[in-house]
Amino acid sequence: MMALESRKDLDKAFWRLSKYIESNIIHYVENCISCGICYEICPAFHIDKRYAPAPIGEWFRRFYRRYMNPIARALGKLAHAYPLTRENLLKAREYAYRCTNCAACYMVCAAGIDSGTLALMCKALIDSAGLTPQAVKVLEELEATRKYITPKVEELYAKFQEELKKYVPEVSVGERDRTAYIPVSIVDLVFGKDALISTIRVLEKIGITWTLPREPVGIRPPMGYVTGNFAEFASLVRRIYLEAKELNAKMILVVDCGYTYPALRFEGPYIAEIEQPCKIMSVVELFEDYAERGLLPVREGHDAAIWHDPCMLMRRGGVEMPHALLERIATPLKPKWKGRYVRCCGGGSHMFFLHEEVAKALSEVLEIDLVRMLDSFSREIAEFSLKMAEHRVEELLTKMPRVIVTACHSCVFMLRKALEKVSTVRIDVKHVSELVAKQLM
Amino acid sequence: MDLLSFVLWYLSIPTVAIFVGGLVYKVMRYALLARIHVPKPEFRWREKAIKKGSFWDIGFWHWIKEIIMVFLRPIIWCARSNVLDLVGGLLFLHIFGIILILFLVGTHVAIWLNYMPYLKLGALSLVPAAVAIEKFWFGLCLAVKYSAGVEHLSPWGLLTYAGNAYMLALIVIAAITYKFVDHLVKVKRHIINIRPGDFAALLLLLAVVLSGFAAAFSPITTPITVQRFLLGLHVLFGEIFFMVLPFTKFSHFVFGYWYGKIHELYDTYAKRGV
Repeated sequence: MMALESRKDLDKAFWRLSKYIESNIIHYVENCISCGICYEICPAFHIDKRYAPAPIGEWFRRFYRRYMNPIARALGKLAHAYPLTRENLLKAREYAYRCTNCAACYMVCAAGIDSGTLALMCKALIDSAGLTPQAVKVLEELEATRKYITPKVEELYAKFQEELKKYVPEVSVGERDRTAYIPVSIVDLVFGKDALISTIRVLEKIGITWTLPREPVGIRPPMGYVTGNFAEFASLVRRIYLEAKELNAKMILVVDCGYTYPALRFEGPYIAEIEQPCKIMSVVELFEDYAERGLLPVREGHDAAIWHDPCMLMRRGGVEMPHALLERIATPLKPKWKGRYVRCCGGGSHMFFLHEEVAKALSEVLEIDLVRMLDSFSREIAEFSLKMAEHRVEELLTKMPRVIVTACHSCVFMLRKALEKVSTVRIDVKHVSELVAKQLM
Repeated sequence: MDLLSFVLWYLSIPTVAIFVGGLVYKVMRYALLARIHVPKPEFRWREKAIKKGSFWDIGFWHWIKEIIMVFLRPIIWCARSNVLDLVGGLLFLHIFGIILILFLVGTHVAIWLNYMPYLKLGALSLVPAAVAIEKFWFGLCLAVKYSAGVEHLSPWGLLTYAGNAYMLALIVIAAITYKFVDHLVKVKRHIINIRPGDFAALLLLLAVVLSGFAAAFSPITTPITVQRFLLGLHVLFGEIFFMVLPFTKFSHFVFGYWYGKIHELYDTYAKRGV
């Protein structure tokens, strides 16, 4: 998308976005009573006291007041009604890009306000002014235009299939009438290859037929969920739904339980305005269901394991800690905070992509220089997110685990990175599928 | 015509009209902008119900529990993370300020009964629970005047010595001051969501309580004109409060809070199964 520079263009950007301003968004905008209950649960607030859910949502409220509330518009800055200008959007970016969209604030808000959604709306406005961090924007555009299928990506996908052949008799790609369709992304291949192979090994063992997409479905779909580009969000969801429908799959099985899962499972139908083609499940749900019914052929494990709830899986996806599963494959430790109150590891939303290691790894396969695109703002946000991860890791370490188990590639990355900094003891961070596969009989 | 007559006989109808009009506008806007006819994901509570076998296994008791918890959860979290705000904001400002003073203080009960006489009937009657004006008054003293045939003592008993309107008003004034200072501290810490409107709202609330306090507890020797002026001022501030209510953060009291909680229940529990 072209960056909009003039005030008039930016005004138009707001009106374009107004298509998505429905009653819930109006509620989020209008009904914050500034009580401050949400402050303490926000991971950003613990790093810098200026950034908490209500202030993060405030910038979108300011723009909304300017365009949608005539009284506030007349009062101007006195009523905190600000026009969309480049300067204001730069200030707004400081706030919106410190939100991991973890929804912790939503869980405790006295008025039921989801400040993460307001940050996302604000990101949409920031995006229209061309102020989205360049590395993230480039990834989003590559995903939207399907230009991420480079020769290196094709090679990576082929190599992955070759490796998979070591574990399964037949690799199914784009085959019809299979039970599970696994929407593999580039982040899956680069950061979660072991988790992906482990998931497929478990599926083979429990007798669920599966198929992979003909080509990776995206970089980490939908990238529009990160930048606030709802058109890209909708097109990616449609693309995945349609492929699953075409292949007549019974379920879409999501291995990366970051934002991909709630985007496909819950937000997709609203944004893309399309019916879900089949059931959408995360690997955690599926394996927990099998463990509960005693159908998972695993050996007992004795590693002291602590579960880290990925925010997007728990709070936006409603998938709880898999108790039955963990009890079978490890010795689960009771975390201090779990479920609704768990603290984000700092890898949510765009944060993951702003780390140099991630940019470097993706640059190699996408054949672009993402590291060069990481400007000082991006690096500042990456630093900020690492501090969040350190907080989370310190909290987890109080229980002295041997292994931290989670289900999201960015959680795995962030926790590993923070552990390197915080802990002197070697502690593993594993995707739950890896742990299950390790214990397979 | 003095201020009291003006606010009672001329301003009350416009107040109600603006209040109702504002509220209707607000509700209509929400209703019209709701995206109803869009494809929806499979709701998780239904999935769970199917898995467990029956609607009643998962449905009924979980729904009851969740309806209660959706209101209690912020309070529990606030008690864990910020006790001062729980006491100042919830207990003193909301429970004492709204529930006890606005709805249960004897003089206010008298007004509610005057405008809504059907409240006298049945269990909904506010009369038995009316709070005393002062420790040596019983809560009923004024309310009883409007509820012929209902003669009983206040159920508050000895609590009347501490929980009377005089004490409650002082507590609420302290709570408003606390909130004001809290907002100032936040502004000083560059927390950007505190607006001039937040201070204006607190000042209006303070004006309502202070004028009411002055009207109720001015010495018996106060000239009747002054007494009427103070009461007129209290009613005027009260009417301004009602007029601006649908358009300001006060609307959480009649709409925003309830909409938010119902939506949260729908979105987090019913849809996502959190």
